[in-house]
Amino acid sequence: MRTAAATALYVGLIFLLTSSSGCDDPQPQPSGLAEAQSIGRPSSPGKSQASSWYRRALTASKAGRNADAITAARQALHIDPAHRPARDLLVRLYVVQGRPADVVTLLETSLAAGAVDGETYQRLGTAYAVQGRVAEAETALLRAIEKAPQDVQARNNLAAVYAQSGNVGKSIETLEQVVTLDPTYTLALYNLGSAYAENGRYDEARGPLRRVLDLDPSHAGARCQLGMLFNNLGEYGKAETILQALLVVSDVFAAAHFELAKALLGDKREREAIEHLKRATEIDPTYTDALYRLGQELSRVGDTEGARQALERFQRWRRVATDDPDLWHRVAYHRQILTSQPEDEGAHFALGRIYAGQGWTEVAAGELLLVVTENPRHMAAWRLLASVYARDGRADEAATVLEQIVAAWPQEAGVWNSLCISYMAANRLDEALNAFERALKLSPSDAPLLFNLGNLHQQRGEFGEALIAYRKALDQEPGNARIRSAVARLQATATTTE
Amino acid sequence: MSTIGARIIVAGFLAATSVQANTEPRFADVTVAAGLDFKHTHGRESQDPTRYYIETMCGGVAFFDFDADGFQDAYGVNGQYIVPTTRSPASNRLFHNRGNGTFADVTAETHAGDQGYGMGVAAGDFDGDGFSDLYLTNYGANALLQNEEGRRFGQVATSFGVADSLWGVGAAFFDFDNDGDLDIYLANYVDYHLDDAHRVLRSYVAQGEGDLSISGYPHPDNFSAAADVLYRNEGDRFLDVTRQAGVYDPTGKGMGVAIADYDDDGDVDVFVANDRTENFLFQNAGDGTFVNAGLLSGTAYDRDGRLQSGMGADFADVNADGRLDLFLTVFQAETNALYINEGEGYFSDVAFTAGLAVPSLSKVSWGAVFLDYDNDGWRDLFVANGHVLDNAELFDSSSQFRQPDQLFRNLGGDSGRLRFALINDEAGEAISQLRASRGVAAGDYDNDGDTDLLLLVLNERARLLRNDGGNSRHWLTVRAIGGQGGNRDAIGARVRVMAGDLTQVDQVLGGGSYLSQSDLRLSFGLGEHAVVDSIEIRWPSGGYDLLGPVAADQIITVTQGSGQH
Repeated sequence: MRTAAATALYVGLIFLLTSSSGCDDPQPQPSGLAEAQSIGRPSSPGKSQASSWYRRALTASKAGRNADAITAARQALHIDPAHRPARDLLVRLYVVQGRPADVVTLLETSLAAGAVDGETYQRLGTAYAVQGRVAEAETALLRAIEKAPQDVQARNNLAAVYAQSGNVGKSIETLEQVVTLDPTYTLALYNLGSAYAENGRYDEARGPLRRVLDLDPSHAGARCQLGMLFNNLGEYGKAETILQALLVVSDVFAAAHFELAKALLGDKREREAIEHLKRATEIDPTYTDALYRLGQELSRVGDTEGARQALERFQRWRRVATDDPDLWHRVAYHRQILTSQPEDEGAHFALGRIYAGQGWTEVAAGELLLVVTENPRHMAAWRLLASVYARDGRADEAATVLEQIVAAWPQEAGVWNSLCISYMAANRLDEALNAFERALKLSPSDAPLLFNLGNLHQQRGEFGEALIAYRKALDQEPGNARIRSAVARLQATATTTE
Repeated sequence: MSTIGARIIVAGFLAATSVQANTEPRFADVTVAAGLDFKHTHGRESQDPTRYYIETMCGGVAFFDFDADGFQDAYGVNGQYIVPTTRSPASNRLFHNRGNGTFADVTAETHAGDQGYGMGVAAGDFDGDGFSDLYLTNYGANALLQNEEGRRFGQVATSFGVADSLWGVGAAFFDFDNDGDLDIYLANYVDYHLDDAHRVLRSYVAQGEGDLSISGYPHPDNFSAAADVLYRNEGDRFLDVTRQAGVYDPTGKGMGVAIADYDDDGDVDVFVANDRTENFLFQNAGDGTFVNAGLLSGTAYDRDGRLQSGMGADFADVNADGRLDLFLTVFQAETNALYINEGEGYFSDVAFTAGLAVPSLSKVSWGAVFLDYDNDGWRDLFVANGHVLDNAELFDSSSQFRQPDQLFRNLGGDSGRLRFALINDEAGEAISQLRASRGVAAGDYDNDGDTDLLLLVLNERARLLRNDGGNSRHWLTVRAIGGQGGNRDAIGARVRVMAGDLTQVDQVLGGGSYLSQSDLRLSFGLGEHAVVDSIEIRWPSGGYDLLGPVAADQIITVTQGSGQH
């Protein structure tokens, strides 16, 4: 498991996400207070407006309306470029949306505007690192450390940058500095233990990993890493004990199932191992390590067809890795996070987005379902899941998902629109009509809703009703060529019929 | 019989003197004393900052007996100057073994020097005249040196149709169709042009990426692969039968080639170590074609299905179960692999539990040879190490360009408890010296019953490491000569030696290590057994010979058909 680099970077991003002053505050602060916090300057109308936009951004963000939140946060920064909470919120939103380039631009702008502080350098360095700009990342993180020598986060992320560029020696050296500065920093301890283990320094690895478990007995990654270490030493009994205990707590840990399978194989318990390999590949259908081993083991026990399927899947994902290494790197990055934090919502969502972008419906849906199961309020994941099904022609499943969304967020006209379209695609026209009526009660002048209602009526052969709906839509958006074209076609058809 | 009888008389004298007091063997660097004055050049002048990728990937060495006098001669493959220079062109070198522990440079009189940008060497008697020929791989046109009665070599690559001009690296002679003559498998690496040295490319680091301001040799991912070639020997020429034999695969970035009958079905198979693409295990179907069994066999990737930076490979039966196992060398931050042959076409990588994985993590490994250095009956392992990057320390403070080679003693045991121990400290300081080693060949150059080593060191003098004390235990060396329609080198011949409770199996292997050629004679360590009860030789063309009992501590030559069967 090559976890140190990715995990450290991820924590850097978590820091970006969580340390800004407004994000964890469930109640918006009074504007005056927010203004004072942001720049310490006296209130002014502009600053008040900026804070107002910031509050709108925060509200939208909590409601899962990230696009709206981004717009509002940008507006806040446009009015007040020094509005730190808005900046931090915008960074978080860009991270969630997987837009590291925007994070970089934002922070570079912030630096240029005078935010020359350790935290900004640290975040910028982390953002560079995520983009693979290792030289710039190193420079920014070194500046961060210069500004704040006790900043263990910056040092931890610098270690990740060194690991990313292959400088194992400096990476380990830097992590050793971190744990000296802060012996309770579990992430750095975990990274250090992992780095030692990856380089065969098993005796040295045990200490930091055990320390992590002393500080955080629930740390799944440390347990899994110890399991791997015992496997590599041939101590299969110890590996099995620690991994079995881990899986009792968290069964959705693909890497743990894989390592347990290795321990069982070491003890010649092939059948049990195969079950765990299968589980690993259920949890993560792209887990090439497990797919490969599963294929080998199924072949050995005579399950030729099973072996063939497993190895075909292995070859499929291997081809992705070969044909599009950048894409695979992004996948691997998030997979690495899951090796230490198997239920991490952000990583599962990021993978869902990546897979959805590639049109890989099954694996995308798998990841997104994990997200919404853990967090039913994750609007973006729900929306994306519906979209994945819809694009794959699975209208009924898309509709089911959208029904869940509108039940939770009944005021979202856009979701209603999508639901209506799904019903139409599934030829559930009566349900579509009911849905449109409900949606239009919420948002009577929503042009897309009216336009799609027109389409529905037309599909039902209700041309008069269709024309009325189209005209209402056109009233809202007179310049909309698509609506005009629909009206024209409908009228032409009527003329022809006559 | 007469051949064996004559050998026994001569070797008996040696036997009387070779069994010494029981001391642990050590390797001594006798390069200078032996007169092996071969300095490799990769062609870059010290003041030239340009790094050409070919510089760091060469080269190989060979033990072979060019004049059939019973002593292993030495051959070194050299690079070449890339930019115009006033220096004389570099050349490969042939050193004749005088039989007294010293060598003489006979390159000029034998015309054995090739002035291409040399990579590797394979030795084999392709024309069946009793004298071993050489196939040389180059960056550029390869060379085939036909041995003319042990006196000189003629360059015949063009006339024989084997002057492939891609970046050739590993090569091996073998008789894939069992028609009695030696064919050639050629591994080509990548499509690299010298102009690429002036492009901005991703550098070759342990596991890194991103923009790096330090100049270094480029990563192989920057280049597309160059397809390997299978040449079938037609007698008066070689024919490219790559596609019809089913071994055409344009994705492989070939490095080391190792030939063995791993499935024990009577025909030889081919393993190709590929760099950052899946390895090939071409299983011979017996009808002139091959099937790539790499994926199902478990040798295409590492134990977790990950791509490896394959460099060199060697086959041997390390756990005495009668099946040939496979060792693969790889890059830093990856682990060398010991694939144990489980039978029925499956291999399992046991490098971690065998103690071979962790010591390799910090090393970039190239040539590897199995040898029973202490003649205790268990195959030990020598690995040649050295980084790709001559400025590795600038990329990774834990790395170094010059690295110690490694000698691992096989502690014995079946595959469940197989263990190797790193014994550099015990085996002499010559093993641990810091060098950028590449190819290694194993052979008993002084015919004293223990296996010595010949190493190519990048841009430095080649090294001859003499095994002192390995013959303190009993041993037997078998030279097999094919006849009756078989290839004279008997590549693919399977030899089974039984002495008391000790049973060992070995094969005459083609290729192996990294771009190098080892002594084709088979060396068996017999421990305390002074008599070999039986020797069974199964010939690649069919049939077998059975001999024994035979006294230990001698070199025997067995010609196909000479024994009982």
